[in-house]
Amino acid sequence: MAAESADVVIVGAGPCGSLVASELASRGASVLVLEAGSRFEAADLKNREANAGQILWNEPRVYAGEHPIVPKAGIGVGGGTLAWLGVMPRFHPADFRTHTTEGVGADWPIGYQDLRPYYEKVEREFGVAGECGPFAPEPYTLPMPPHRMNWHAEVLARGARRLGAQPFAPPIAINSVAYDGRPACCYCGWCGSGCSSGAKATGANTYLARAEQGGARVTSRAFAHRLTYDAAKGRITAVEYLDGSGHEHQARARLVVLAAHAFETPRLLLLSANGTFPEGLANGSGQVGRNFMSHPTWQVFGTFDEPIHAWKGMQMGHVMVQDYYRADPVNGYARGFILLSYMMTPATYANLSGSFYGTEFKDFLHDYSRTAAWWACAEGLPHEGNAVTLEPEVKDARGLPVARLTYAWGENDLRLSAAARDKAAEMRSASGARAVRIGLNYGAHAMGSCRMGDDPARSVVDRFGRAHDIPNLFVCDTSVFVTGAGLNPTLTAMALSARSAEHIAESVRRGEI
Amino acid sequence: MGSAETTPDDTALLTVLANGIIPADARDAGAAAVDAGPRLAERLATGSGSAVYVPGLRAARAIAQESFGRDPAALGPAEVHDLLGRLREGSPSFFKQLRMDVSALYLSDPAVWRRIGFPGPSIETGGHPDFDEQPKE
Repeated sequence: MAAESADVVIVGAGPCGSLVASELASRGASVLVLEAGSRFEAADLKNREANAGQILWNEPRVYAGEHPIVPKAGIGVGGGTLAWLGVMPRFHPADFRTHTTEGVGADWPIGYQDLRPYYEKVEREFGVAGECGPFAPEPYTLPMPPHRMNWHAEVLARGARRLGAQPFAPPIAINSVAYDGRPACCYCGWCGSGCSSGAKATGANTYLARAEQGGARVTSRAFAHRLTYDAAKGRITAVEYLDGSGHEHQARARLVVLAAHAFETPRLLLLSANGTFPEGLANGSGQVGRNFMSHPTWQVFGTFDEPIHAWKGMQMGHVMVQDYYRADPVNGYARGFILLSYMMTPATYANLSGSFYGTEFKDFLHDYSRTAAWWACAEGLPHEGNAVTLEPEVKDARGLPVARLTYAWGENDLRLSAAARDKAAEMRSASGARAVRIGLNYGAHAMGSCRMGDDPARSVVDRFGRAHDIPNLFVCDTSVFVTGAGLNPTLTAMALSARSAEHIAESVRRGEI
Repeated sequence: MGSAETTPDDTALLTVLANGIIPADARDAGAAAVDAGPRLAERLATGSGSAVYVPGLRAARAIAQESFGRDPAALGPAEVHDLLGRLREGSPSFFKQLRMDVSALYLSDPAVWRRIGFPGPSIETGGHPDFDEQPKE
């Protein structure tokens, strides 16, 4: 077994792992980042829908339960930001206190004010364009001006305004002007296939590039499959991983950060069970894998008599409606929802349209250039039974049990997402669409599974992402979310990671780690 | 994943099902315009997707025999439409994968892009600087 060592080993080269690598490398730590997927150059990600097969998670998993959702996840250096669409709203103060304010979900151990400086930091360093909008948690300014609305968004906004809503150009991590050495967006319309111009911020072209300049090492095609635990010391001593040829390696570490997203982070902990932690490493609470969350979403299409050409521009987020986000006791549901413009390349358009077929389907495909679409995104509340576990009957190519997600939407999730769907359909009609089609209902984003909390009996990590059970283990990704809000989660995951990185650096400086 | 055993019957059945997902009309030959059925059969012969396709094809044959007393390759358009609806209900994973694969083959053909009004890749030609202008017919 080949061996190497670093002060800090980070599992996962997505936006959160990249951010932590940059922060700790800049403070003089030796950092090794292990990424299961490949490293892509810009030329590898030209406009091709087939790119999704490379940059979206492409290994087996089992999706089960009453509603077997399949949230997308990325793979490769850059992680989920390779295929993401870049929308970066801040969570609202009430999102961190859903139990206190509405008696649903659970409260976070931290609040908006704790994250505020880190939101600002990430927006500045990662590069975010847009407006905070009329319903922002507070007025704030982003480092780049908003993108102009494309015609698609103008048509959507027309219907929204007719219903009294206030559509706006939301925060999005795609350059509206040249920024941080990367060019302005050319509006090619292929964001989800990877961005070959570099206008879209990814973990790879921002924080990880800085981390490598600062001396961090990144090993791609390195699949971490076990954390080595020293029971006498009560600490993790190494990360064991397989390279692309199947050879075993050991990376010794003083500190380990898991940033492998809400499926693979709990899977790695469960795979690392030992005599001290027979139910999974750092799982004294029994909470590893539990309270997995996603956003219940609907795709709502409207077809017009005139051409829309929605494929011109960023795929998502030329316009957002947040008027229905704040909770209101008169609603027949808790929490809230948002609407975002979302138009996709043709094959994805077909996949998100639903399950109809035949002449009706072909007509829909041939209406592509006349169709506009809202993406209606609602909050999915945590339920302990929604969980990632190991599936012993299904193994990956390495012979390791795959992750099994068991999932069922709750009653509020269904009511809330139905309201979001209906509002989007109402706006479609108000825009003048000749036909409205309710498309696919699916789970977007993966969150929870290693929730943070002050009580070690009911949470996996503390308010800084440090495992309650193991002092030199941190989790820095959406796994630590207590609730998922009804908003795109990446900015909040990165802000949490920035806060964790600062805490790690301070703790090391004080000799506490 | 090893190769799956496929037969000429599989090719015929996949062709019937694919052409039912996106049928021929005055605009074009639908899935047949891109040889979707035979291409799916070729892919299946390599073992790709066999865990979903093999039981799905078995279910399609069983439904055709039960409902129409014939091999599915011998069904008419209305019967194929009915068969696909039953597969959607009874074999949802297979139906979803089939619809996705047929759509992807059809919608990756530049000739189809032209017919649906999609210009295809644009990064090499500078993207769409007119993205905020009202498009013309």
